[in-house]
Amino acid sequence: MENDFKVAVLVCNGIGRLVSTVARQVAYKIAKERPDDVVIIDAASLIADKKDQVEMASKYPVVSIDGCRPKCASALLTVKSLDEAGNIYIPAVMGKKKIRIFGEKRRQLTEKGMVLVDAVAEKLNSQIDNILAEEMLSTL
Amino acid sequence: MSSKVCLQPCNCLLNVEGTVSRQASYVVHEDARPDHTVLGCNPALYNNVDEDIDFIMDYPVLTIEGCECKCASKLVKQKSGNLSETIMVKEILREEGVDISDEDPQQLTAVGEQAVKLISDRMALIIDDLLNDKDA
Repeated sequence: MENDFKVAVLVCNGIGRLVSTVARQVAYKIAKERPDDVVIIDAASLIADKKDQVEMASKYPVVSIDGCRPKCASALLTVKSLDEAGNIYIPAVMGKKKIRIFGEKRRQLTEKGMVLVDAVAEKLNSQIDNILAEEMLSTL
Repeated sequence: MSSKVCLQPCNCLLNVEGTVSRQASYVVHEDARPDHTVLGCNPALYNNVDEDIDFIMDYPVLTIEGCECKCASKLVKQKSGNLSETIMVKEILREEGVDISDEDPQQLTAVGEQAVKLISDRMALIIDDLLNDKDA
């Protein structure tokens, strides 16, 4: 039976900074690994108020992932009056895990950059599991 | 005459045309015209980040659109930027007979890279025109 409850993931999806590429790769990774548990919200489509994206972001709890200081994904939720169930700030993961990605290219990450992708995805997985657990608990 | 052009790709996450527009912008900004382009970020522009507002005010803007929604162009207009030219990725690829419908947005194959080359070449031509236009 298909699970109707999902967690929405919104990544900043910027272009200027390397961490934006990391955020994007996290979204692709989590979408492929947990298709039954998550939906990916596209920031560009949410900005443009595309109906299906707005509906998903309204229907499901949203975890945002921000690459740099303006925290555009989080700010986008605020502007659109959408709730934020969780947030991951990639530089915080870099600092905590002591992962350096200097020298990586925005166009294509190597194994070095993918170490950070995996670390952010691990944290995201934990937040998704917690949200799913709370939902299951609420239905008991 | 402007010294730089602001590249503003649609940057859609889920459509492969978004990947092509983004990768083509990287190619132009990093390799083809590094001294004459800046890279505009849509989420940052939407959130009024100073640098991105300055880009669209100070330079002519070339938007690279993945689909007919024209999200980047709409956003630049909404923020009263200098929208000068727009490239429609889908239309150009259709004209050139390049089919990227089977490509994965996460990782382009040779077909996707061919599309990136086509779009980045077209972008470079437009940038040169904009830089040589005394009214730009």
